[in-house]
Amino acid sequence: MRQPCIIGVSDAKINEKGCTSQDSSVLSIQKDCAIEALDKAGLNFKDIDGLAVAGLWGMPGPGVMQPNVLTEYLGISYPKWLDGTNTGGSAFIFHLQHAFQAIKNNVCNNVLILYGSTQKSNKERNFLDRPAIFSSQFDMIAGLPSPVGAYALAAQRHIHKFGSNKETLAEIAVAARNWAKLNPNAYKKDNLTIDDVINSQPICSPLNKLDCCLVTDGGGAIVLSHTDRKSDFKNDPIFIKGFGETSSHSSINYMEDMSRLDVAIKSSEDAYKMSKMSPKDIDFAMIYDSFTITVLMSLEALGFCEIGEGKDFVKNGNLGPNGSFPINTNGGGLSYCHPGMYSIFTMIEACRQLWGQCGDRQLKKNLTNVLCHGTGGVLSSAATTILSKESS
Amino acid sequence: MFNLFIDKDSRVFWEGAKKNRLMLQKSKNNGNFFLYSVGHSNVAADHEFEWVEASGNGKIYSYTVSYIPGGSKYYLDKTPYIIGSILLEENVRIMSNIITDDIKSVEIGKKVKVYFKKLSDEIVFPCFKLV
Repeated sequence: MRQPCIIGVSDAKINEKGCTSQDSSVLSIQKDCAIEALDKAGLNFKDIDGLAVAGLWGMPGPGVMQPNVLTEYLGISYPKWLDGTNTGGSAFIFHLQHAFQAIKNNVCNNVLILYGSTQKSNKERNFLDRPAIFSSQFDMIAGLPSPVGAYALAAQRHIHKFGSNKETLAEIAVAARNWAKLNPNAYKKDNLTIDDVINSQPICSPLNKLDCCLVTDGGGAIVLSHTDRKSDFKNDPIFIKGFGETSSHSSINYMEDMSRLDVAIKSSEDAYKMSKMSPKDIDFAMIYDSFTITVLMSLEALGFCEIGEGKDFVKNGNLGPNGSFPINTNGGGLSYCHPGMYSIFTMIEACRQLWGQCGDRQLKKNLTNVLCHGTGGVLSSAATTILSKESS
Repeated sequence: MFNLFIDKDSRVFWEGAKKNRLMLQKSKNNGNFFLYSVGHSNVAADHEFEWVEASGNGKIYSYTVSYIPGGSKYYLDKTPYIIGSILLEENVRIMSNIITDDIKSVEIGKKVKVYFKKLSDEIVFPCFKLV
């Protein structure tokens, strides 16, 4: 039985300024990541017949057309399958599950998922000149900083409803930092305390600067293949046991309940059902941490604790290196890197943990099943996948 | 200053605001209200609708005090200011500003009333004040 699997990953090196090397471009970052991931997988570019990509870059004017640009730039010969799904930062987990279906159904054989960003080097993150358009026109005329203001509205509502507080959120930032200290490629590695987070610059109440993800360059690649060519693989294949994806809104004001992450409830329900698993079967989780509140709401929605009980679950460093529920061992978007769209890094780190390649941050316990969860937009879209050493 | 793209689904809202009227869309099929998008409003995209004037009464669903400018250069010298998601009596949420001299008085659940604020020659924005 032909089983799709992940066989290679890579992430771009970032320097002490949070940038990739000075002469790199958004395309060269992706080429370098692809070369490394293919090499680790034991495949070549000529083997690739499927390509998925999302990013903040593209052809101005006629449309972003990222799949065309990369097919040409990398010389991929007439790919049989292309995916440019862009649901925000969650997109790469959408790509993974779409690639799974394509490979499983013999549409294509070997897929590259790619991401690159030079947002830090190129100072691309300016939000004050963007058009006030579609449903967010009201948000922008109201002066809502995007995305942080939207996440702040959800955080305020969550705090109001469940009694979580700034310490709750700070716990999540500190756990991420404590993991980042163990990751040589993490951007932020200096010591961080709960008080540092609470006393950091207010941005949009209740979120402070250290509740927010980093702004860095970065990139990553994932190579998928299938078990029919297992003899070629350099790594043990990592299987995709289940997945789910959904979307709800574009402007935060159209989120059904700002205190509860319904999209993650739905996407994870589908992933658990497909894999015949429940949260207790998950050995560790990689959860997109665009903001501290994103993690708090995701933990609840993914079923690792009850809705509203995240505040107790994250206490006393529970998510960190000495806690009982480790997450985001690379340091996350809060302390490792955040080039704009992060979910590809959840899967890259999950694979490295399953392969035992994480050095000082390698989890000591036996790992079989890892859950990766991505949030896109302003708590808008969600994708969950469960990766495993065991085949289906 | 503002780079507002008024379109078919928002023109009546912005024209109404200039006349100090808060306009919403109302489904002719089931009487539910919405503004711009029908997501989570119990209105289907193929319902017929009409524009109606809202009461202007609501309460704070959530809010944030912004210490950084967002959305437009207009806000560069306005910080801190308060953005509120207001749940109107008509069961529609609207993104707006809460106008107050006392930031600490703003809380989720408090009643508010519409207050039309002129932001530029072209734009009057329905803002809200605590009742």
